[in-house]
Amino acid sequence: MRGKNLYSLNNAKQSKHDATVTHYDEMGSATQPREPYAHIKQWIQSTGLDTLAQRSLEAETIFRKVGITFNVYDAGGDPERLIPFDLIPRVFSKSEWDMLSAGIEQRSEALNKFIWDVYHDGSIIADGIVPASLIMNNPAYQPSMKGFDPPGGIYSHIVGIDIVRTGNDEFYVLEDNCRTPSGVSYMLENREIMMRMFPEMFETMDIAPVESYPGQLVKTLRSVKPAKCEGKPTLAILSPGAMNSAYYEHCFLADGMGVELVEGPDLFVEDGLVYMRTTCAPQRVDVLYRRIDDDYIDPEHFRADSVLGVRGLMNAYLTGGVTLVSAPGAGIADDKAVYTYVPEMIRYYLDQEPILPNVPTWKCSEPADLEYVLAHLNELVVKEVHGSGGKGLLVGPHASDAERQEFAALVTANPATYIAQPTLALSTCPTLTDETLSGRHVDLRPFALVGKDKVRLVPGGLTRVAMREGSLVVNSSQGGGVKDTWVLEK
Amino acid sequence: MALLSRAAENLFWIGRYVERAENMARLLDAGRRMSAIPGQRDHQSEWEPILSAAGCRAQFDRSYDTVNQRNVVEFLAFSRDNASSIVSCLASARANARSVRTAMTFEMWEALNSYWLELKQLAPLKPGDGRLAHFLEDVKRACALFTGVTSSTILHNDTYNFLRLGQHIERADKTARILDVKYFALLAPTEEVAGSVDLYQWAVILRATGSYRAYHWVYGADLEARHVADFLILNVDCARSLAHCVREVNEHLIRLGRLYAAHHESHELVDAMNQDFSNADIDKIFADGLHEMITAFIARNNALSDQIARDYYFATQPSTPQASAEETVFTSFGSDRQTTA
Repeated sequence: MRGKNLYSLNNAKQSKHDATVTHYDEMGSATQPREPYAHIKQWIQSTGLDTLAQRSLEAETIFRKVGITFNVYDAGGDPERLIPFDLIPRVFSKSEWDMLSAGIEQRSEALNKFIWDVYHDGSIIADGIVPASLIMNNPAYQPSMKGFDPPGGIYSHIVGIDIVRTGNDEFYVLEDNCRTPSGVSYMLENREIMMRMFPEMFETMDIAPVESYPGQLVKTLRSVKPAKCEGKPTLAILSPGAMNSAYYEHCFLADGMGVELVEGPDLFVEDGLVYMRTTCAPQRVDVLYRRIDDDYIDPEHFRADSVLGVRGLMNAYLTGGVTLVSAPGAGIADDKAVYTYVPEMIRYYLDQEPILPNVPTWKCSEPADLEYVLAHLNELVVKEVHGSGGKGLLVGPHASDAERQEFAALVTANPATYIAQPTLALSTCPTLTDETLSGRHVDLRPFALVGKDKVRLVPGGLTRVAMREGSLVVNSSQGGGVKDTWVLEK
Repeated sequence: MALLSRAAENLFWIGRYVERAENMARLLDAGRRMSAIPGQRDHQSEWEPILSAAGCRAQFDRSYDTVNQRNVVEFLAFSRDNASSIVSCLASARANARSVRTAMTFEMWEALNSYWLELKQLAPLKPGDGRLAHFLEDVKRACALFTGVTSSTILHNDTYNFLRLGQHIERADKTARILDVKYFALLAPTEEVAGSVDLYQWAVILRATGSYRAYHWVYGADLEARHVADFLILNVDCARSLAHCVREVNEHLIRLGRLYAAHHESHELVDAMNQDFSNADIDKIFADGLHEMITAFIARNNALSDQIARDYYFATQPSTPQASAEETVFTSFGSDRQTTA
């Protein structure tokens, strides 16, 4: 899963009582659970923590047997890790989900319109809404995409929008993922395992099913078949191979969709068409859901040293021989600096007010914002725009005066490369920890499927949970766990 | 719809690796039985033929000073430096399975993965702790489980054909090598009452190929060189005989030929081998030289494996031809392949 380090630094220092006092807990108070959690609360009480701890071990055994692992090769130890799975589901009411899904669809649509615009007339730049420098100097910008019309006008077909909650009606978008967001296999496996272990819950509660995701993905991919494909398109998933951290997911999706899982060497391009090497005749591929980065898809066009990609693939794409999902250059829309403009995009392209707000963000490139940021360094998180992995980051409330002064100098010297956000009090969900139940911070990654015909959205998404007390890091590579996410149908 | 060539290749090698692990377990079990005879315990000579049959003597000598149970078991069962050890074979099989998970059933994956997880937890065996026999049983059971769930859960289409091709090519190779190591014993002058050591060596051959009981069922109680050779070379009812393996390979290639409507050179090769076996008799083989026959067979079997790889566009195209059949018999345990993971 793509990393997010926005709030990662304040975890260790956040004191326990500060966490319990200020954070919104989604289950509600001990005596009065919120409506969507009423049944969960009863279930926890009647099952008992000992039994739940026992079932939790069972779940882990199942995950290991099935081989639902993600790979970490650089940290020593077992390279095939399990993502900790927490049995207590995270629940949304129907009305909460209706609002969220409307917001997610709106945002996915605007992001795609933005990418189209960037690679065509650039009217949003001409109209002075988004600065040109933000686009043209961006490493995610692909000049070769300029003027090209991808099938259906869609660039980002699978949009993962990371959402956090801070109160009853307070949701914020933390980050957009327009390239190849991962984690959907965990969403599906989490549901599978919950249905296997606690069938009675699914009989008594009206929980919206999620298992149609692979089928919906197939429909989405078929809807964007390339110009040169006349009949029913052949789909395939292009994976970097078994060493990739999300390899399990690639297999899982290929299985669920009933399509081939291919690697670079399995494919070749001839006369502008893409073929799979098979045990008899080569077979044409029309739509390629590629899970490798832009830089690696075609050594002829991008990085010459790539062994993961396919020579000539980009050319085949640009001449209508194959559809690449997502389109090269789609990453222009999920940059941290571009993120700050998404609400404006929604107003500009859709003429609507954003349903889901961004985390309030001060752009240091703007003088008024810069002034505010410098005056409030002790309460803000300041981030470098292209930075990641916690580099170029100041967590104001936890920094020393000296650190703040040092950072103030950096920001003043180069304001355009910094943004600032308030430190959010993320919501918590009850989570099994060492045989007790405690609140742990969560986020949500829903997966919007953008096809030529419509946007498809499976109810819920992947809930990631920071397993350590007070931690705000939900990243799977840093010990974050997952929960099943339930959307109630009434 | 055809299979991805990479998937076919992986399946072929899963078949080979699982079969190789099982054969290695049988070999070690034979060694264990031999060394269990009073007076023979941990006697060097009892483990020599096991190492030779495994075909990794030269590599063994580079790592160990003494040929004894402890060293041979460590090397053939657990060493990760030895690509043909049981643990290495199962690791390779699982790695291959992982990269073709879409072509396998869940049960097949689970059979490989569960045993692999168990193996990772296994406490080291110590000589005399009585756990070796158990361990070898477990390996054989895990391999049998994989073979069994393969038959009963996979689609019996090309996926299945490639697995079985790998399995039978590997099995033929192993039976031939075991026979070759003991050919001098088989060719010992026929005495009215064979020496007890010879008898024992024949018994070991049969045990190492898992056909001790079957032999008695077919030929009665007496162990005779020609019968043992006939059984393991020509008797198509014996699941480990060369003739049986070739017949299976032929059968699966014919099915692929029909499925893809394509006749390849490998079809010609296996057909010729099959014909030769149906016309052969054991007396003629003994007259012409058993060792020569086995050496030639191993070379043909390798060539067939290579031709299958070419005919079905495997990515790892083998070098052709094998350097020298004589050499391969004693320096390596069949052809190896670099795995991707």
